[in-house]
Amino acid sequence: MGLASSLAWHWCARTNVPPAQAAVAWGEGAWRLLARLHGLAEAPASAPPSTLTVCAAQALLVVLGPADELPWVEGIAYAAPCGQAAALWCPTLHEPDVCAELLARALQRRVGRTPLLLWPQPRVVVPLDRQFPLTAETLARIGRHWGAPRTGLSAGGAP
Amino acid sequence: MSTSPLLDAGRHLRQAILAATTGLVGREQLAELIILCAVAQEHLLVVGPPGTGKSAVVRRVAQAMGGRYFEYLLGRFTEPSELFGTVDLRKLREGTVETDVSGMLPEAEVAFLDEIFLGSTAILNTLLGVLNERRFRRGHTQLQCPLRVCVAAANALPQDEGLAAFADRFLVHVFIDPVPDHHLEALLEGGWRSEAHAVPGDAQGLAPLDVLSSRLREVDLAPARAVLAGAIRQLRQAGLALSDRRIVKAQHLVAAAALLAGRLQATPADTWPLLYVLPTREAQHSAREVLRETLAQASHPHLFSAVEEAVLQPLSRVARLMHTATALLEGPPAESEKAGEGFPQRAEAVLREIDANFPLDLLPGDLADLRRRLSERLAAPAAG
Repeated sequence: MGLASSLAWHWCARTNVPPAQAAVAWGEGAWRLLARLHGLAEAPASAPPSTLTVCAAQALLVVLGPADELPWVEGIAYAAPCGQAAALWCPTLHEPDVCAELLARALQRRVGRTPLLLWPQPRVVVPLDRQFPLTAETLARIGRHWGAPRTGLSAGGAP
Repeated sequence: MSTSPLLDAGRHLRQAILAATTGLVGREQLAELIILCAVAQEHLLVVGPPGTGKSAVVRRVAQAMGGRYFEYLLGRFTEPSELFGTVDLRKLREGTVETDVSGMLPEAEVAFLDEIFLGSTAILNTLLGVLNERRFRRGHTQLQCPLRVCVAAANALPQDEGLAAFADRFLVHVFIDPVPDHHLEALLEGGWRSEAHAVPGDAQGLAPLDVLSSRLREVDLAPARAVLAGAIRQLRQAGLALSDRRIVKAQHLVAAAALLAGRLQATPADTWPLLYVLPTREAQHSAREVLRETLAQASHPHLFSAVEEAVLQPLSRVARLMHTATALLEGPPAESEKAGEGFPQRAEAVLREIDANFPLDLLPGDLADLRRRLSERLAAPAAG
């Protein structure tokens, strides 16, 4: 959903880069991330169960979990809660130049859901309240939701 | 004289840090600061709850460096003889009061004193001489001590003024916490491995350390002095005062950081140890904010974690990320198999950290190149 706000604020570089708690991918990057997640979901039964969860929207994939477990693919970005506002997630590299708690409250009132991912490029607010465990079924459902499965996309490598 | 012996010594001590911290999760910072203090000929106080691996780190660093090691857990009823040695009865019969220091603290090159503030006045007074002057004096015994570094540990900083003055003799204060929840698996796995594998001893002993500390006074601090003075002024303006003694001695740490990087000239990037000279956790926390811009360029080729924890800024991570990426790309495969993880997992971890910390267009050139090579190699099996 688009972000239209009467509150005047801008993005600025984070002064304290926090540990990543989510991986965020858009467009082609989201397809690469989906392919990578298929690999993780098909881990052998002896492997410890994944603690990752997944959120998806059209052309968007968000994977949430501990930093050490988050996947990497080319073109991905990372997110974490913004300052003291645990319900407002932003890129690890950027944050709003206004009080995150107040902005979180304003956005929550407008969107009606929480927590929220606030993103600069594309400029959107994405609810993160519908998270699903990382399983092959979840990923298949996301793939079906996005349309025909892409072929020839590997998880890593240059875009 | 070429600086290459310094570079060699710095690399050697980095290997000692690696050997000492293999399997110890989140304790690299402490190991690196012990080495920094040993080169600076200063002492370190580590404050943290029991069971956080303080003694394990010091013991393993001492093993990796190869020095004579003395460790003792002090209590309220600890006698001075338990640390310094008993009176030599044979000499006593001859009319002199001498101490038999064999295997005791006065002979140690690396010492660890747990629960330091429980020591009696007699112990702490004798200890002052050993720490400050490297001299042990008791009765007729007067000895020069070979002590390179003493690490003291406590659960908390003392409230008592006399003990606080004693704590002030430890130039570096480091505060450690239990391993966080998300590292518990690594703690369990690493602990299991480290128990099974002893730290390999060092045939060179303390020679690399001595190469560096013998040249401490030769380091040209002029290029870093203005930045250091500016940082101290900023701290004072923020109400974070340091005693004159600690300010002057902080230069030992700056010089040691330069030496460990293989240089006889300090730079502004070497001023980060100032943060550890602040005596309390709260003061260190505030100083990170106050000195944010001053320390933005802080870096070190071998003391990655100590710099990162001091500065908590992305650029301080560059040296470690480059080191890890280079080791992955160019090191023998065995070194890339730490913790049972293969190349893809470790490469992915490095790439994840790079992308979480740096916008691609602002990535330092060398790191950008390593990132590209890692990405290409990671993609290679799928493309092939």
